[in-house]
Amino acid sequence: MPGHRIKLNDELMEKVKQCAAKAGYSSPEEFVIHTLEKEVARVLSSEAQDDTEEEVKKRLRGLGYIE
Amino acid sequence: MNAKQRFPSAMRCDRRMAFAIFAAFIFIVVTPAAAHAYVGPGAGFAFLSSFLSLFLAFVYSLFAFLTWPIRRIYRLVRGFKIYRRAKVRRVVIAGFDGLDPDLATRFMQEGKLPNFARLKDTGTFHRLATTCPPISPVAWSTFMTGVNPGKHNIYDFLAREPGSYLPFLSSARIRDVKKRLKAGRYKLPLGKPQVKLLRKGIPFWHFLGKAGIFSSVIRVPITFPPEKFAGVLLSGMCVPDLQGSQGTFSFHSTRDLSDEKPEGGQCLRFQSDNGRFRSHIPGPENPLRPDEKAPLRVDFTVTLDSASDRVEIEIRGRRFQLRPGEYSDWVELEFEAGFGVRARGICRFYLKQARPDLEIYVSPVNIDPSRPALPISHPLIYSVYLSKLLGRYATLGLAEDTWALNEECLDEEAFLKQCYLIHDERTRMFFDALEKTPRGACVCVFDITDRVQHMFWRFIDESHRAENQEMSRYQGVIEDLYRHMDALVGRILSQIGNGVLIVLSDHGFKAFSRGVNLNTWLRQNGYLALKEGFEQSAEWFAAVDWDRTRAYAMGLNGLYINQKGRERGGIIAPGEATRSLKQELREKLEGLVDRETGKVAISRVFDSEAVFSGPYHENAPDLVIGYAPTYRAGWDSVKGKITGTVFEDNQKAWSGDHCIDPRMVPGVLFSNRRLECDHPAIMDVAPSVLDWFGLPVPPHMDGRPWTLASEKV
Amino acid sequence: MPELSYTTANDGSIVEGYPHRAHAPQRSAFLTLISGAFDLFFRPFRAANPAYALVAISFVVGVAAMLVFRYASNQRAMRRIKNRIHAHILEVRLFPDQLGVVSRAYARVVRYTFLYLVYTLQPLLILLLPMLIVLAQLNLRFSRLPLRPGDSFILKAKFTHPGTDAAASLRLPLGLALTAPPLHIPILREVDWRIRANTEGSFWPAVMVAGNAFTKRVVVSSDLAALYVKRERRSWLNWFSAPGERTLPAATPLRAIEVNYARRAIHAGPFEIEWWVFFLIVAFASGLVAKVILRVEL
Repeated sequence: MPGHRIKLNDELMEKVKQCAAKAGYSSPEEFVIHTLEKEVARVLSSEAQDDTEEEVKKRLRGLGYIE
Repeated sequence: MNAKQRFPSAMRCDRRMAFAIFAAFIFIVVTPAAAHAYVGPGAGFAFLSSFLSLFLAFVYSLFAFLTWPIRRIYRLVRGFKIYRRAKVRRVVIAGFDGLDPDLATRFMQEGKLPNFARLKDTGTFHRLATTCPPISPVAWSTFMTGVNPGKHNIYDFLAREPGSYLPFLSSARIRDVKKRLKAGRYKLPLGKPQVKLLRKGIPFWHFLGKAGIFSSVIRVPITFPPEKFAGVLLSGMCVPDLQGSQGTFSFHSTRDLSDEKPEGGQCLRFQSDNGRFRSHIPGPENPLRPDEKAPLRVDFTVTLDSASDRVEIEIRGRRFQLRPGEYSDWVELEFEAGFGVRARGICRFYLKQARPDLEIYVSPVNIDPSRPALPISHPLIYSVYLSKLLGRYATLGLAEDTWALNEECLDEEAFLKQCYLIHDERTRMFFDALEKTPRGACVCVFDITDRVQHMFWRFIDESHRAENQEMSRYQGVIEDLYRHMDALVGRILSQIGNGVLIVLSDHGFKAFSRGVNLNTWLRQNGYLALKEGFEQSAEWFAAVDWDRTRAYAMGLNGLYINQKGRERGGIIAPGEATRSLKQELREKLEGLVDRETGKVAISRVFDSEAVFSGPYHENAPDLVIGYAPTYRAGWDSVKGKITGTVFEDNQKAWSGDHCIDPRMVPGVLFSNRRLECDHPAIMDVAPSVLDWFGLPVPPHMDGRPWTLASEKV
Repeated sequence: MPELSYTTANDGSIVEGYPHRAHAPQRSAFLTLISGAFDLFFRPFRAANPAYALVAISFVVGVAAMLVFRYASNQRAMRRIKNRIHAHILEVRLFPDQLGVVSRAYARVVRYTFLYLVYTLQPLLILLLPMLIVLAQLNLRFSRLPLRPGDSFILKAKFTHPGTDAAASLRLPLGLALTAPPLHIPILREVDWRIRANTEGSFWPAVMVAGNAFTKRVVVSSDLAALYVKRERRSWLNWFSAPGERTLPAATPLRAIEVNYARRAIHAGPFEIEWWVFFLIVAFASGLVAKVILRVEL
């Protein structure tokens, strides 16, 4: 759940709504968050995986479908 | 449930005695007036403690009572408006994960499922189209959001990180605390770990909640971490255990097990000490000392009874006895991290055998629902409420320990017992939710159908090559399971009144006899290259030369193009180059024949552009492999291991599966109402429920509502 | 009326004599043992601040009470009932708009709270008698201050019939001295003597009525000691409240003999509080600690 609010003007908000609906997002908020996340990842590369392989293996341990 | 059901007879005896004592006490206290002079601390404790509860109840009750008329009037006015448009007052959805339409039909025809047959004859029975790929997290995400995976972002249990080619759990990401305060050898966390739900889309119960319609949602997969909405929810599949894994059991033996490294668990050898045996349960890492490698632990000792096979287990001052083949109740564990910080969990002990070697299985340490280390319900107190009302229960997403059976740390009998223990907990939760939701939606997913079929399909499938010596003993397990679920349907029907009942499954089941190591096939056909000097690769593409690799497979059905600009070492340009490579792979893989059996192993390869639409389709595998029945992704291929053989026998107890061509494994749809629907699909459920409650179906939903006929069973 | 006599001891103190011992009330052997045990317990604290002694006994009592609860109650059932109460309280919070659910939850909270109280009665009953004995013993030691040499006090003799007080006189042992003439209060059928304690020790001044002597123990000491304010006729209450002193024979003209020991306050840091308040606080606190350590459901 987002903990902060950003104000958009009416005109932009209207366009956000149109874009969200056109792209198949379930809400304008989801569109805004996804768009920002992608942009932030591109600029900061912060979405890069910082877990080690060991951590990855541990988290998936016990998942019946994979060995 | 009445009080007699809740308390065993021994307790009733105690209660009679307690009443007699109470009467005697009243007599003593009332007759000699001077006795009032002395009220000792014991009495004080009792009265203080009980009156504290009463006092809190009273204060809250008073508040609720005073504000109730206002809230009631508001809700009434609102409710009147809502339910005026609604075609139904209550919708109950029982999800039986993996209930197979072919088996259900067969058993109904044989007269073994009277309640399902009743629904079929007087209500609805259809095959329910599943998702592509037909995997539970994908299908249940579509179920709740009414959208295709391109809009909810779940394509498998695993997703891959293009920057590292490493997988991660597709549904949730738990990030450790970033800021810490150093205090000697401790690093004190400043804040809480961040748990992020990676599933997108909005579950239909959120729309209901916004309209003022209450929902109770129990253990629907991919609801961890829980989201806020107007209702109650207990998270299901993919809730981690206390170690942060999807379930890590421990197996303790007096044998030397140092060479055994079971998948999904850990083997530990008992230390003998004057006729007592000591071992420990591994817990999470120390949150205050993240650099320390040894996890936190809780020690326990076992004493063997010399005259019988009974053992006594002592753990944290608590003692209990077990006989071979017996599970303990849930045992509370506290892993001490220092500074009074504790991680709390629960586990069950199972005595596999006492002699000649002592062997004890300890379940994965589940998050304690009464004091959850991570949020597993909405509101947070819902998990607490359920544990106070019904006792502690399994909270781990995949609570039935399939790996323990695969690795023979549990036998079939023990695994079944575990499944039914968990199922009984779920059933009690469900009926409580049903009682608490007289209006609105009540949704519960039962996992037992999926887990038991995965592990016991070999007993009804002659093609399975796993050792089947006990064929006759377990041949009836799946049939018994279906009968059990039928009885559950009967019980629901008896309590549902005028409500609409939907019984559905997210997919069906088929045998899994042969595994296809797709990465090995890709290598043999020049699409995947290994580094110089390597003939094979360890898991997660350890020896893969990405500069010469065009495609790779990860997860249960996914095949990815090593695309430039997307993958870190991508070499195939997006656009036409990718499209033509996909086409080439489709042509080669569709109809791929297993030379050893002469059977087609892959019946269809789906292009993601054709099957997924939506803002998250970029995260989807480029191709989804639709294996033919009896085939599935090989165990090695799923985790990016490259071996020497493409096809191999599946020797594991995990012998049934559904991660194949979705057209081969539809689910079931039963209802006590006649539903007018052609080719119903699981994505239709969410829009249908909204429509029945008189709410508009949001335009982003891909499913189409089913028309509800007025008759009911 | 039993014939009573008295003799004068070498030191001049008066010893009450019971020619017909068979008729004389006896101290219970059980209570003698208990009193002895308490004396033994408090021996190390005799000369110390009584707060220490009270802390020690309160701690022991608090822990012991928890142990009784732990082993004498049906902990499993109590835990389940308590969980039920919590669950139904949470129910009200979780389903506030469902009238039926909320009403049932209220009813169940009341029902299970009552049931819970019923389950606490078994250990409470077991605790009742020991707790009365403990409190009586503590009351003897901590409610009053012993007399100090130089202190004055009043010895009161209370009579059954009007007029009998007129003939009453007092014999004092060495160490005690009258400081004023006796005060007769006919309306109360009472005679008061104002006495000064000169030396430390246990003294037995005797009230003489019609040639019979009725003694009352008077303690002059700076140490912790069991003090009996009143000697009276036998009743079930003074079996607890004055277990260390003989009761007055039933057929005497005397109702009671009293010594007005000063009330004692316990000094706990900047506070001066009654012993029982102090006792309850420490016993509660230690009980709560024991509850956590012993995992007692309460």
